[in-house]
Amino acid sequence: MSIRILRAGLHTLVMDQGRKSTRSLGIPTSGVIDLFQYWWANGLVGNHDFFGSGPPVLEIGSGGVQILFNHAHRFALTGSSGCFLLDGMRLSSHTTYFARKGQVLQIPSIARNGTVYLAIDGVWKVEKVYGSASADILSPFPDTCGSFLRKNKVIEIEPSENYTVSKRGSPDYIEPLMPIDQYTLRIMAGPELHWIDLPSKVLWNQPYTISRTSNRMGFRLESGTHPTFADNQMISSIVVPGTIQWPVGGQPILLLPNCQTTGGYPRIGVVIEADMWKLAYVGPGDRLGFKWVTRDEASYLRKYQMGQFTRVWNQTFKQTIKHHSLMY
Amino acid sequence: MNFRIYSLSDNKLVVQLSPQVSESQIRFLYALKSLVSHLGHPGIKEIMVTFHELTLIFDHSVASYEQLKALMEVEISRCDLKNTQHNGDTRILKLPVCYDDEWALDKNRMTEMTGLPFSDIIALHQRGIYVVYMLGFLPGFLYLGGLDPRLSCPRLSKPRSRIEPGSVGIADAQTGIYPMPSPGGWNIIGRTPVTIFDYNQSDGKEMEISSASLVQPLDRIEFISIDRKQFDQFHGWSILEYQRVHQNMK
Repeated sequence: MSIRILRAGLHTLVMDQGRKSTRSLGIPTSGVIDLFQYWWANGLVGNHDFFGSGPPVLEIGSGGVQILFNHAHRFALTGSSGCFLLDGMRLSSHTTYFARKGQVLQIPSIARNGTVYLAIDGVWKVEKVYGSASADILSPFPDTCGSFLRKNKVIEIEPSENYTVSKRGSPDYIEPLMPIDQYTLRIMAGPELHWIDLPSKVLWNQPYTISRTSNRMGFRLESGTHPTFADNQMISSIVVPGTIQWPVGGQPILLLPNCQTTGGYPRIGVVIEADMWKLAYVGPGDRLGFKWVTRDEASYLRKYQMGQFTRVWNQTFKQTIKHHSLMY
Repeated sequence: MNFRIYSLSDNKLVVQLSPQVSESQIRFLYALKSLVSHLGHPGIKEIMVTFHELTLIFDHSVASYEQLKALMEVEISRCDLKNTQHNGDTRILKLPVCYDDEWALDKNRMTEMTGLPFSDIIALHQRGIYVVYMLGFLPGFLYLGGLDPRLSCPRLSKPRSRIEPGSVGIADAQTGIYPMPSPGGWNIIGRTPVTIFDYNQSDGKEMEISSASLVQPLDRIEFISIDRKQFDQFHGWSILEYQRVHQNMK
């Protein structure tokens, strides 16, 4: 009734949709970056209700991972492409598989700066903090809530009884779209955008490179732009995943789900929620472009994406998706 | 009091007051928060107050920005400024702090930057009664207002990689307490032996989440100087346990 981590890789974490309503305590929301791929992975193993923080999955951010199934389990991989093997047999992503007791899932490599989600059916007996199993490695939370998975870690999973797996495969277009050169993130104006000169020219028509000193709290971006600020007396204010802060005289920081809850740097822009998923597939050395949109466009894009996703889900899986919400 | 409403991403609505740290503003914002929470609006998922802003995080499938903007404008007009002001019944919590050299890592820097002997710095730091404005930055980190302006001191240019839990620091015109070990750039002048946040108070069930923080927004904090022996005596106690002992000592 468990899995054992034989090799943990560099970045393997337990994740779900993150902590809801803990910002007032200063606790980051955490949670997966690509909710769509998280939902889909769960759909493939028979989960369809995403109330609260939702079922946990493993977020795998590097190769070199080996997992032993101590019991027969149904599992599925989504997110980035990679080399996936079950006892040496090659597996596809976005497909439901059955592992027999004693079989080993090997992930020797995944796409550069990628993220793979591994869903395993059943009830995960993992620590939860404020209702969520999501790891926040900077907080003093117990066990998998506060750390990367390590070698020999055992996660108890009680297999579910009902085996209703869709006979239909995942449509190709459910896989995350990968860019040839760079992703373009659509952004809305932040509350301090007017502090900088030529606001509409900043974050526009110029790629930003993600620096090496980046983690799950945020990406430091590098560009040749050095805007002039009209003001620099910033009072610590709310920041959320997707916020682009621009320290006076410095370079911008794009915040991710494990970001702090308040910040004292000017908030220049915010990535729209419909584009947040792209951040799961970029990392140090990659380039990002930006495009300004209005709130109406952002709302429309959210509604459109959620509508499309829900439609594809309900065509593919027997059970209708419930309580899924695109919120970071 | 003037306000404006803007959107921070398409599902976060922010009510912004004037950009200043003021007790009347923060009281207004928390009163507004409680007013709006009591509406029990199904679309409002979370409300967060910071120094001069109140943010609603809402579910797009239930409510739109325009609807909530209209709702907030009504609630703001209902939120009576007079009733939200300090009426003297707020809780004052005593927080023991050991200012010994062992913990006052930035003693020399503080005396240099403020031009005051360290004994005066301690005296001024203790004289104040500080209002808890908000929690943020780190889980359980307290933002306190009311620092004597003479103690104002800029952050370290190179942050420390680890600051001990309980460390009491000063950054610019603010004083704050690190609830957990963390990197940080505040000037450390002492350390409290008591805990202000309960990281274990969550068994994963639905709960009143605010109870994990033993100190609540709008509480008042008074620093009590203790010696090294007392530091060891109170080490690991919660701030609430300490209040009972402090009462008995008087």
